Amino acid sequence: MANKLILLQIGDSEVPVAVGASIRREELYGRQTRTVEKDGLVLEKVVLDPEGNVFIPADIAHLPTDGQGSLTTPPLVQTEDGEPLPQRLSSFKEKRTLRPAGLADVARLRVDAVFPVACDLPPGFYCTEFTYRDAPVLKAAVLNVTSDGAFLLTGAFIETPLQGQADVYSFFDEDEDPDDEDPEEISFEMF
Amino acid sequence: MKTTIHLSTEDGTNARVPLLRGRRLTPRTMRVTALGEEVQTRTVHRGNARVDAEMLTTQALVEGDPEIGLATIGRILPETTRAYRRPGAVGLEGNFQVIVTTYAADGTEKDRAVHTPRKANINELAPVRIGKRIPLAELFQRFVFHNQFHLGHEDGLQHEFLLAIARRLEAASEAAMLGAGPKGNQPLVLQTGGTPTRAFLLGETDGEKYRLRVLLTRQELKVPEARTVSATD
Repeated sequence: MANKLILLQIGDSEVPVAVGASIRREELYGRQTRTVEKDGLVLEKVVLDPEGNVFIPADIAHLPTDGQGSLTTPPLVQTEDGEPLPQRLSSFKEKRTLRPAGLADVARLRVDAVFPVACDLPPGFYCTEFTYRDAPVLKAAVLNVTSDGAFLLTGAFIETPLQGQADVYSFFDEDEDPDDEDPEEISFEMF
Repeated sequence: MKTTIHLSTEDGTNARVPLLRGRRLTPRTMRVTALGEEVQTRTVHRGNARVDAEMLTTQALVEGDPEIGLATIGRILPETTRAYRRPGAVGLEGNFQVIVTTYAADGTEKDRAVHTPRKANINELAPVRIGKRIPLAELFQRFVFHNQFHLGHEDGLQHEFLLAIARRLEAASEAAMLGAGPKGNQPLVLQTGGTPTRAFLLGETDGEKYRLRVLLTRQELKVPEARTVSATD
């Protein structure tokens, strides 16, 4: 597959980066498939509904629907807080910014795709955003340039909090509530 | 569900500590209609995909619409069950076996075996061991990390244990490989039925606070051999 070009802006300069087809794990290590077999014969998968109707998977579609069961207009995308998210252009159509990144940035990235790239940048890590197709949300991306080659890693940054002892033990540092003190006499009012 | 990892340092000190999931910084999205109603994905019968081509005569199409399946087309199927049958048969089959076939990167078949779900191995009698160290810069140039968790504590002893590990890793600017099994060299299986994965532990500290990331990898950062060969041809 031919490489596709993206443009990245770092400072005042513009860097063209040729992006190849994503590297799948299967290409490196092979793959596993699961088949369901009985008496040496591969069985066919079907879908059963509660009334006993049997469908083959190709008979079934998973469709977006509204409360009435149909959708007359294309769905809109918004955040869980209700903020609308307009469609963003693919990285192949729109220039994105690039900045040098530290190891702390790279450690935060949960990768969902790896692309081999060709670019003219000094070795190091760089942060940018990427979306292969037009999408409402851009993916976090790290450009990893080594002397042997370069890769674009896309995914999402994961926030990991610092774990402090005080968070757990603040309970013991709180002022004592006078109501919690043991009464001198044991009350039996509850009975 | 709470996940616990039984972790041991190089000197044999060990503790069971919580394995926690971080928060994704990308905003979670939802699809809505123009009226703001949430869009749901439903399973729908869309027609009979498999109809014998010889039966699709003009007369049959006019009289019976065999490709549509009028009795059920368009029906929303709220609950469905996966089942198996012999190809072309009507009745369903039970007592079958799930066979896993392994193929090499070049597509040749390597192995066939009955599928047996793997058991989780991170909270066993033999703890997960902190093993081989690797410099951080090298780590990110060699592996692709598809998932990550972090370690937390529930009491002061666990806090001291984890803070000490984080300090050692941070001081050396290294990550440590985690290994399961009696020898501490097996990949981790986080949950029963899960996939074996290699894991590395990264440590950071800020005073008495620590951050211990567990980065999971199942892939090296390299171009497949087949692509490099075809590029040089």
